[in-house]
Amino acid sequence: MWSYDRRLQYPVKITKADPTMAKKVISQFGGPDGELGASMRYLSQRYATKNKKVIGLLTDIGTEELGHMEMVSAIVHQLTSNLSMDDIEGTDFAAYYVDHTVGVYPESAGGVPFNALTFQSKGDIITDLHEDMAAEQKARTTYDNLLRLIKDPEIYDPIRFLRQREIVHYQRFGEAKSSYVNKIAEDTCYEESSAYTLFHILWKIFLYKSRYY
Amino acid sequence: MMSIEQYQLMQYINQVSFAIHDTVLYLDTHPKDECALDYYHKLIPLKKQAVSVYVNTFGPMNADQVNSKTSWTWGENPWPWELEGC
Repeated sequence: MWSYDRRLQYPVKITKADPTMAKKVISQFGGPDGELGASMRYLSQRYATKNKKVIGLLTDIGTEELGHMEMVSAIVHQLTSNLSMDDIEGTDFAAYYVDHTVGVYPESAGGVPFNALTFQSKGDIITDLHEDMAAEQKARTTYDNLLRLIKDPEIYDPIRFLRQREIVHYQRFGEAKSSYVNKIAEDTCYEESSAYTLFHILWKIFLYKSRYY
Repeated sequence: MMSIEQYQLMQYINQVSFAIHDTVLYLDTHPKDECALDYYHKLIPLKKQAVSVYVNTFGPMNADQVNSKTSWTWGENPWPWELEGC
């Protein structure tokens, strides 16, 4: 279950419309490294492990990403508010306007609609945590690219906040992965990954056979 | 348009909530860190009190915080992504 708080995680107050910039920022909503994919990735991956710590982390970061999706959407919405046709005509935003007017639609900066193929839920938590760390870095790079293109401090400020969160998430996923990999020496961990299953069965047989009752 | 008082209280709630959330992520991977757990427990009542003042003064922040028994106020104020909102 989720519950909605009527506030943004970090304030977005953009007073000057800029449809060309909106067309770029929208990528962090529905693009290949955007917040929609990030949230769906972590919330989908939670079921592949019995490690309660990792489930907690995926739940909490997946939830925060929903809040980031809302922030990116707010930026796009404010950048496309009160536009005249003169503001739209001849800009990169014109093609978007034909398909979506000024509605917020999950797509990449290149206009490709959101695709669930941008993420995996592999059913192997160690594999998934590796992807999660890469995903945070890819999103961080995308925010860096946006920050190089943005001049308006009102847009720059919330984007900088979002970029910083990618770094914290990367760190937390790294810690989760390390704690996990260190557990490989323990009996329970072999059950987590199908790659270890055969070894696990053989090991159990070995343990059983070597008992002296 | 919201008042300075509302904006400032919302800013405070955002700051305390962010501190709690970032501590939660840290505790997820460091569950035995007593210092972080103390910090978490120090922040929770600060948020509770600020949210209670906000809800009583400016309206609901969550759909289960509608105080009015005569009208449905959830949809009355600006939404957070609106320029005049929080």
